[in-house]
Amino acid sequence: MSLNSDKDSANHSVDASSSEFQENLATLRQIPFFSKLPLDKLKLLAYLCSQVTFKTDDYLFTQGDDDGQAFYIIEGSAQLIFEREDGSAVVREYGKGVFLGGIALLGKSRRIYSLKAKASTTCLILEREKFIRIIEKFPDLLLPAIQGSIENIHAWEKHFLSHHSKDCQQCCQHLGVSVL
Amino acid sequence: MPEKRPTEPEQIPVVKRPLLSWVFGENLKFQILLILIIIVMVFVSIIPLEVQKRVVNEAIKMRRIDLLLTYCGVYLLAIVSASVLQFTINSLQVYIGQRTLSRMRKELFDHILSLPINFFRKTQPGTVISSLVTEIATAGDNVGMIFASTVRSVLTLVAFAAYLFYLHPMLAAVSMSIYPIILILVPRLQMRANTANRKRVDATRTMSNKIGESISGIYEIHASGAFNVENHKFAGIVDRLFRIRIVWNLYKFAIKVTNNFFNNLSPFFIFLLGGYFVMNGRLELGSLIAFLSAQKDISDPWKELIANYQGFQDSTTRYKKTMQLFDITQEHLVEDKTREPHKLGASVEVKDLTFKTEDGIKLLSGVNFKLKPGDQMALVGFSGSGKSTLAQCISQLYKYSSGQILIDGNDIAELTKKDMAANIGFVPQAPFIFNGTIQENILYSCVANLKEIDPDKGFEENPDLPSLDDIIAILHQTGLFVDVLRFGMNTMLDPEKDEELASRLVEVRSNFQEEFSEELADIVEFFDDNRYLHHSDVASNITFGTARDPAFLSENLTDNDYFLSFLDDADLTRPLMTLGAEMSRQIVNILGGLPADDVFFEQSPISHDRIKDYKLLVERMAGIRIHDMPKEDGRMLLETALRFIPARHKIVSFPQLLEDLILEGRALFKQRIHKDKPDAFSFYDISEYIYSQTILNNIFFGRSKTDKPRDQERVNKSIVRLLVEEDLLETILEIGSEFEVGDKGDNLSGGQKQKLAIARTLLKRPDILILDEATSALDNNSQARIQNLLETSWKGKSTIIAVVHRLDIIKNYDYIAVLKAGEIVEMGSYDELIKRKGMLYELEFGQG
Repeated sequence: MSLNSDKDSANHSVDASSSEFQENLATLRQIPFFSKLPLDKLKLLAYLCSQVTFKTDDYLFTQGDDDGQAFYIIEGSAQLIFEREDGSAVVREYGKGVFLGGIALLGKSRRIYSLKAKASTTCLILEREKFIRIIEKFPDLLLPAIQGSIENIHAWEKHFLSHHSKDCQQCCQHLGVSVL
Repeated sequence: MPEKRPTEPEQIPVVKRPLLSWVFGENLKFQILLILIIIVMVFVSIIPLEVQKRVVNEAIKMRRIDLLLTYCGVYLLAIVSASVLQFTINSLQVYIGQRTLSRMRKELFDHILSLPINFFRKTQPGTVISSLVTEIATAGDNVGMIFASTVRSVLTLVAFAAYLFYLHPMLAAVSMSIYPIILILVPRLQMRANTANRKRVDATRTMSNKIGESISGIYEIHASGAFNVENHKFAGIVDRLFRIRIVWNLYKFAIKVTNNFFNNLSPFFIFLLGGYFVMNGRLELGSLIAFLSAQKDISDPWKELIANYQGFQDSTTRYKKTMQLFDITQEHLVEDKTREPHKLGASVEVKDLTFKTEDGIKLLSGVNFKLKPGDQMALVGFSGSGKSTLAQCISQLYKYSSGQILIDGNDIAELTKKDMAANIGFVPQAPFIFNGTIQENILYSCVANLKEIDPDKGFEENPDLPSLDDIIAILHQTGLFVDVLRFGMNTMLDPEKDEELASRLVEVRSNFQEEFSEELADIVEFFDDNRYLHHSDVASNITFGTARDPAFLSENLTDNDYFLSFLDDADLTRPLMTLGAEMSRQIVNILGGLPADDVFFEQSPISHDRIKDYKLLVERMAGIRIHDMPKEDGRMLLETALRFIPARHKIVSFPQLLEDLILEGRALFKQRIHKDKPDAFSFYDISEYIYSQTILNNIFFGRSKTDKPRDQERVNKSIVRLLVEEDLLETILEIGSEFEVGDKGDNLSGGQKQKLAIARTLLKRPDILILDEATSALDNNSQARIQNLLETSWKGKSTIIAVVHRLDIIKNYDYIAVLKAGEIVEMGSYDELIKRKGMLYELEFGQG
């Protein structure tokens, strides 16, 4: 093969459009928690994110740990599990396109649940340390991030009330996360 | 030099010793020797004067060559022996001075360490450091030399004065009339200098404190941008010190100048009176010359005397100020030399215990409990409830105000520190890790309990220390095993020393590939001549070996013309430049304006200090084809491309075509190097150890793809299995335990530090174990492992008192004591207390 003509160089030109970075950027733009951020900051986040694949039954995080990571499920599914002394119970399941752990990015907390891959699962992961570092450099990003979180919590409780309030009178006495 | 151990119990404490007591004592022999030499020296130094007189009066006057020669010979002999004696005296003085200083330092350090913890809470390290390093040094140095030097000056002075009187009594009396005046003036000035000096010591201390405070508070200063506030405070202190030092120095010079003036006044009288006498024939010219010389010689010892006086005053001031600072009574005796440390039983009884701070605030009041040997008790409560204070009182770190703490019936107020250390193990909340290896840190408490500490003796040679097996057992129990193994695995071997181990590891490598290559394929990228390494950079993929010639090291490749022309021949230059160009554009776009921070730049092939250059390069690239670019710019692009690691730098995609091209290049490169420069490289060869890589990578013969703990564990398990089979595990652990932990254990994580602190306490197998939130920085698994260890293998063997922050680990304790505002509000087993629905119930389940 000759590499001397300029036409040829198109054959093996390195382009960024199909890189993992570009995929990450496209993904982040779909997630409400991040979508309010300006593009140049999103690029930085996309650069700092990493794609990780978990095998079936691998733990994404474990109850009691403070792993400080947020997950976006690109492919596969995962189960949220509450572990007790008398055994563990599956709380719910998450599939492709779900974003979890935005709150874990904002502050320290130990996980109340474990998250376990149900099938081979690929996630986009962002770590708190990196996120906080960006917030430190660009403090005006904090507000949109918090707003995203709060909207999330409100939407969740509204949804819960409208769907389950009749099923379980007792549970509802303990509701009120959004007014904390 | 064998020296007596410092601070015998019956001796006066070091802080109460008068300064002069250091001068004699163990230095007495040297001092006497010194004085004898000085007497000879003084006598010898008069000889030249007498010779001078006789040369003029006898030899020259009588024109006798033989006498002239004799006198000159005597003169020569006298000055040679004076020089030799002088140097001997100086040597002895220096020796005595340094010996005094080192003794002062050792004894004072020993004393400082034994001061109550409370002292260190209130004192900045800077103050202690400047006392031991600066202030005491001047004092010790001076005082060691001052005695001999004073004796010498006085003797010389007396000898010369006598000689003057022998020459001409009246002239002598006149020329010495100045000294009484000096003796009146100088001490007055010195008193003022002393006052200034005391102020200087205080101000210097304030400055040390301020520096210490600013450094400790550096996080706050940076976070609040409070640089100006701190500078302002510091400037105030420095300005004060500036004024004090000027006054102090002016007084010192005033003394010197006064002294010099009067000394120079003396010849004035001699000229006047002596000249008159010579003219009258009442004095010979030779005698006048001898008189003038002797008078000049007398002023030297006099000046020295005054300087000694000044030095002594200065030393006394510094010494007193320093000793005052540390003049605090120890709360507990360090050890009783007359007996072995007590070996006590493991029962603990606390009776009506009260602890008050110096300001009278009660942190503990009326605490009572009793533990049988082997009982395990948890202390819980909100922060500020006094649980840590209680644990520290029981560990004898703080002296309680009233009540009693009894261990096996002995009040701990009466026990020495050594007694406590022999029976109690204490793990603090924020353990301190000392600079050194893991092994040194793990053995720290055990070494401390040895009778004799011999720094040259390793633990293998000391039968009183735990064996390697004991250490490995503790590493297992505390969960440090994995960490130490990892440190060992990440070590690079030394080709000089570890050849044998290296050849064994090559064997392990082939077994590893047989057994695990498939199982671990998703975590490890094995070196394979025919495959592209996605977890290594482009340069390593081309060279596929370790450079022996520095010109072929990765960072030098773009300056290496041989390599560059190879890239051309392999058709790699242009595609790599294209890759470099795209990467540079992306990185500049994303990271261009960001500050230097590892978080941002660890995934970037361009480091922060180069990003500016690349920013300009990207600007220059606009609208220019790559082959039109200047040569230098092209090299910058190549540099970036050669650093590209596909699995890590995900900002660009890596075309298959380029991958294939590089693989072809790899084969060509090997061929060429073999032919042209056979010594420049050692290529990766499955039968050879790679010294530039870690042990782990050598066993892999590849690179780990991830740093996820979970995957690391899988790798560890398989490698441990293999190392056990090959009987190499202990060797690797030993290498790992030689890992340098850095200052304050900086190379370890918070969890590793806590595990290390627990391990070093458990290793001495204390009968009473006190844990002050010892597992707070550990993850769930590690914490559970240690809790489990205490509940099983330590159950019933050691009495345990544990301050606990997280309530999920307290269920199996025999007793739980709940503290509130310094009092035990309830105590009992977990089930009892939960049933009672009191404080513990509230803590565990909240108020709702």
